[in-house]
Amino acid sequence: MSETLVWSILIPLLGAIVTFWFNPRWVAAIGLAFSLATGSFALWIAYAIGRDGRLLHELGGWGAPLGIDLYADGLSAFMLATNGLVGILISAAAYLYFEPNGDGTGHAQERRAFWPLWLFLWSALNLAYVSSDAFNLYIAVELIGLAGVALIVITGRHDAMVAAMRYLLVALLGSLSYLLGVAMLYGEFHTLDLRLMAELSAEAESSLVLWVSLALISVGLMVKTALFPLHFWLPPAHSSAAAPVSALLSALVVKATFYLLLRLWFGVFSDQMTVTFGQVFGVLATMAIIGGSVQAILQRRLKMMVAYSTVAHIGYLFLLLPLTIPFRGSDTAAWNFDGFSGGIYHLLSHALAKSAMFLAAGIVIMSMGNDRLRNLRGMAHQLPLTTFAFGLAGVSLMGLPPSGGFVAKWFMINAAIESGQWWWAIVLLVGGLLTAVYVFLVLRYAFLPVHPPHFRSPPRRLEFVALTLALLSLVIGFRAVEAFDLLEAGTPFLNAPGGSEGP
Amino acid sequence: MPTGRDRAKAAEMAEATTPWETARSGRAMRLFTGVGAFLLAIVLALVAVELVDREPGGLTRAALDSLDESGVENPVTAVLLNYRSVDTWLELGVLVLAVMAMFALQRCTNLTQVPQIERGGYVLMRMTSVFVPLMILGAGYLLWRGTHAPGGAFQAGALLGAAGAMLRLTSRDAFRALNGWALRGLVVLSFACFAIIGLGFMLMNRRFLEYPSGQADEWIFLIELVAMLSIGAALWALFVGAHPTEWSSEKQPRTN
Repeated sequence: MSETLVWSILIPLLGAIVTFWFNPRWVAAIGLAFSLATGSFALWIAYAIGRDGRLLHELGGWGAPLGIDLYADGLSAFMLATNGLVGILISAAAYLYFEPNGDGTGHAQERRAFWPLWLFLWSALNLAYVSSDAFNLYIAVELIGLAGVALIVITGRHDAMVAAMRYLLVALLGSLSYLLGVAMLYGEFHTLDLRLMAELSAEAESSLVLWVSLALISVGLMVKTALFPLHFWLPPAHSSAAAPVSALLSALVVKATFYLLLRLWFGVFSDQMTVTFGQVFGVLATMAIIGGSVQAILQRRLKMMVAYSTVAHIGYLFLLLPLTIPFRGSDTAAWNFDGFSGGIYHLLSHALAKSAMFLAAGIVIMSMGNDRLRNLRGMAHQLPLTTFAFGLAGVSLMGLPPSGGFVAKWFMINAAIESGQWWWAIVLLVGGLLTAVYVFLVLRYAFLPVHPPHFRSPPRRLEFVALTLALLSLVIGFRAVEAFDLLEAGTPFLNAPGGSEGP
Repeated sequence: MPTGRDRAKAAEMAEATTPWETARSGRAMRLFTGVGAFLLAIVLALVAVELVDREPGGLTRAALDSLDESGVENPVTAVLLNYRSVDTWLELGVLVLAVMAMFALQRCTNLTQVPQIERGGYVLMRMTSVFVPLMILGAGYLLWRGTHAPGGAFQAGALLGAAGAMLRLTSRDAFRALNGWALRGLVVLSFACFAIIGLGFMLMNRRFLEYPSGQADEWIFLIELVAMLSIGAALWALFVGAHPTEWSSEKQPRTN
């Protein structure tokens, strides 16, 4: 059973090798087949973990601390499933987006470059969710960054090259900072295994080494997650890529380093998770939500707007920190699971909604030439499905019922009020309002009754993929219970004070 | 009077600039960086001092104790190719990914279109003829040495890559003769072999990359041998493919 974890990495990796090596004209078909296999396998693993509990696989048969362990609990399963679901749909979109034109030309290089890189990236993402070894995770982070950079430049556009170069430098700095922190952790605990470290750290005294390594790891991974004010590289990088690439960068890639932060914070550094630490990150998250949303409102191009919206929504993810860490006023010392699951659920709903939005923006560029907001006039008439998809995704991002975004916000606001931190509830509500402003800005142009001058019909199936993503971000609100049960399978909190304990 | 088009252009340029580029106060930025680096250095020094005081340990003991089972005599090789073989496998993946990224940047899938470099002078040509065979020999030696002393596939592969670079500089690069399929196959070979070997063990009811007992040394040597070839090929391809001029866009027709 535990071999399934290895398979979750190997299937996309074999796909990457095959598509890279043979790379025939019909490479997209092979790539799509491997994507389907990878995604459905990941969903099956998540189901199996929800049913039977956590999985452990000792690579090489040595076992930690000498060897490397793969370990998956409910949180890993949730991330694998998110990747699987969104990954399949983005793969379908990429298959249609990079289709040859009517005369059989165009997109040939993009197609040949995209599939090996994307499957490699997927494999590295899955590795990040199932590996339990701090150095192995460093390699996963490196692979994710490198594949992400390469995916941005496949269009060969100049602005994409500039943005990708900046992303590469920032990503390298981030992962080096992480590596330095990991080296200190090894000096402190003499192991690289996250679970062993978590056990040891429960007994260890707080030391300078731990605090410095916490700072280095946090800053390194925050840079890669693009938390305000370290977000400056994200909007150009995410908006200049081809639409399916923008979608998977915003929906999946930034979430991987966020997941790592959660693992390290609530596992290894649980003693350092003080109220102040949580409040500081709450302030950063607030700045991200307000700053990112205001920037999104000021943009004049659709893709830049959607990219700044990602900056804002990364803020919501970090808001789970003050909501999970027990606040002064609360009578219990346990982690607040409502705040935690709300944040994680937001991750899923944002992944679905944001990929729908980026695909909608890509369809707009395909059919109307560019994505200036002024150019969107008449979009609702010409592209009703795409406009509908964009609007539905907007509903989920705003957090209106019954969307997934609503459920996530509901849990987070509940956690904020229960723990006596009403100010975070206000931030969540204001963020929702600001989101509404930029979504309606787009819709206002879209519904103007003007016939766009240069209109070219996009592939209808591509519109349906965007719509499916948007609909999913809406209807997951009805199935939230299953997702929360899955998160509780194998608690992510190994050292929860007063909470349930690890294996 | 700025026209609407001018304003749009200015807005676009403002979008494209970063906080660094707009910062007029380059001096303040440098001061900030300098002070920051200085403080970081002090903190790191304090951490180092604190870590030195700890009792020595780590996994050295455990790594040495299991050396007999690992099938190699050198503890470093044992860590790289047995205890933490997955890390090494994925590092080979980083090289493959780098070559993929190079191809994505050049918008091509082979190196047959790379323009040749002018032939070097007499000294360079003669030196290359002497050095390249020696480097290949040296690579083989490093590979063999890796089983019982520092050395191994990465060092040997680096030497092969350097030999390739020398050949390239004297315009005798055989790589241009390889078609895309062969070149990409050579680069991806060790990564694929490593995965398939690990998978084979897993299908025989062991863990992924858990060598059958007593056979570890043979498998490790096989992996190292293939890894050396792939690393050499990847480094060579990166050196040749990172040609600064845009050679692919003009030579490569933008069709299928």
